[in-house]
Amino acid sequence: MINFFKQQWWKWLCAGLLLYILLAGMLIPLGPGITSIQPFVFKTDSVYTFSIKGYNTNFSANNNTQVWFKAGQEYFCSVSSKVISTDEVQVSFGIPSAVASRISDNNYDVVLNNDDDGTISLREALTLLKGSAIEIDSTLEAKVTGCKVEVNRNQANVFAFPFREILYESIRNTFYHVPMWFAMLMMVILSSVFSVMHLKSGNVVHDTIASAFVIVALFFGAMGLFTGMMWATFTWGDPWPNDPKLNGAAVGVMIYVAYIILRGSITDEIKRGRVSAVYNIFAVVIFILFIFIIPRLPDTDSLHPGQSGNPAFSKYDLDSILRMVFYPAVIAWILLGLWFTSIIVRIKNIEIKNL
Amino acid sequence: MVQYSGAKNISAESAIALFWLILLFSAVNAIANALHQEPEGRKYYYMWLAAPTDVITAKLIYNFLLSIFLTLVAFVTFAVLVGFQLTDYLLFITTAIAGSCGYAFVFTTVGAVASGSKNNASLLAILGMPLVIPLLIFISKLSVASIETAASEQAIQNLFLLLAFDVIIAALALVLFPYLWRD
Repeated sequence: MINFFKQQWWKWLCAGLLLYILLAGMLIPLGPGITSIQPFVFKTDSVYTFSIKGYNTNFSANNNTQVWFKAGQEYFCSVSSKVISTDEVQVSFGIPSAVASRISDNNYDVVLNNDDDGTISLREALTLLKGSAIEIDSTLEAKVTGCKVEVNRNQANVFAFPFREILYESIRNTFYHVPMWFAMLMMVILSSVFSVMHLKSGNVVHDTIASAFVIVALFFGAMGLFTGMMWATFTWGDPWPNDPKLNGAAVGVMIYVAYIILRGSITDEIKRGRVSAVYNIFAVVIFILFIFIIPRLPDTDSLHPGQSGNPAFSKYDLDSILRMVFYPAVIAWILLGLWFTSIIVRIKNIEIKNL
Repeated sequence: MVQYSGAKNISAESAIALFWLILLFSAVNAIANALHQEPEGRKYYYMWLAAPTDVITAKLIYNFLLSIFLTLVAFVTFAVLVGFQLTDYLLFITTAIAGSCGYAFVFTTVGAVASGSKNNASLLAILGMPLVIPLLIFISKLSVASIETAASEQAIQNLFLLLAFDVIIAALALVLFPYLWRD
């Protein structure tokens, strides 16, 4: 490890990757999507005019912009639609009571399709209130159900991050928050490996490296909590919702704070190395229990992606453009952790020599 | 305790939470005392007399019996003074035994680690509290299960996880204690 620390190439790689994720993560735009629809409630048997607002969209009269509404498994056409600007469409729509009564779901999704943006949608955008409107349009059923529905689910031909409801622009935090935990886990595992080596060999260098890894792991843990709290404030509206993964992470950080306290309370160098190595091995087992076992228990519900607390990324969450930045980000933050560790080890070695 | 038994309408969940808190603090104090009372000289005597794995096994068994005794006393006192509203007594008693076993194992191992420093009583609490939280998670799930329904498949699975946790801690103690012993 010391020889690896002395080499230069991976530090250049780390700096290059960090620059890449900083630039790519900030410069690649967010894909098109629908942010809101006004009004969001309506009644049966009358035609309403809705205003649909888009984000980073290219609505235009020339690119085939069409709007549908979806309830249950059925699609309905709009009566008419008019493009106001590149990010606003006005659309007339209503639902006959005969049709509404055979659909159990009162929430209607908006689906919008054009040649530039592909198919974009807003789930449960409209809510149907019970009862008919005052002005009744008797020809509505033919207008809404009589047309041909062509939702071909084509992809947008733009190079962009996916537009997700709730996340919006904060999806870029994926390159910071998630790799922080990957890096912390890596530091913690490497630290425990060096603790085992220290117990086997009694070499002080191994103990120094193990403790440096813990300090860096704590830094990444603090950064992971901090970025997570910012993200949670934006998406869930609360910096600290009572989520099993949050509490697990906080306890994981606490375990390693206790490691630092333990090291501080023992003055004898040889004893400190041995005792803290034993505690470190103990701690990594509990830490892995917290990160991998407890969030996966079947009766644990988490707000994090992947239902029932399963922390894995599904195909749905991470698309190919996100992956292009996400995997380099994981490597970059782990390498940065190694870089920090090498500097802390050098400082500690100088301190030992001066004593 | 006096305040709660005065206010009669305490819910079943908070009664059990109170029970486990009392048990946690009494276990910490009892095990810390057991560690503290051991004079420095006796440690070297044991070292000369027996293998380290035998010493830690003896300590684990002693602290296990101590915390089982504490659990029994607390259970009887609590049942008389506050009263449990349980549907599945067998599940709760199994949880109590497995849980107090976990308390004993965690604090014995952490106590062995903390005995290397000067002020080991406060260090025992600092080191032990985060490690005991997974135990508390399983215990609270099982306690709620024993209030609400008879043992479900979920509860049995949690009970096995709790026992697996005990076994892991004991195994780690057995493997790592010899390294602490070498002075």
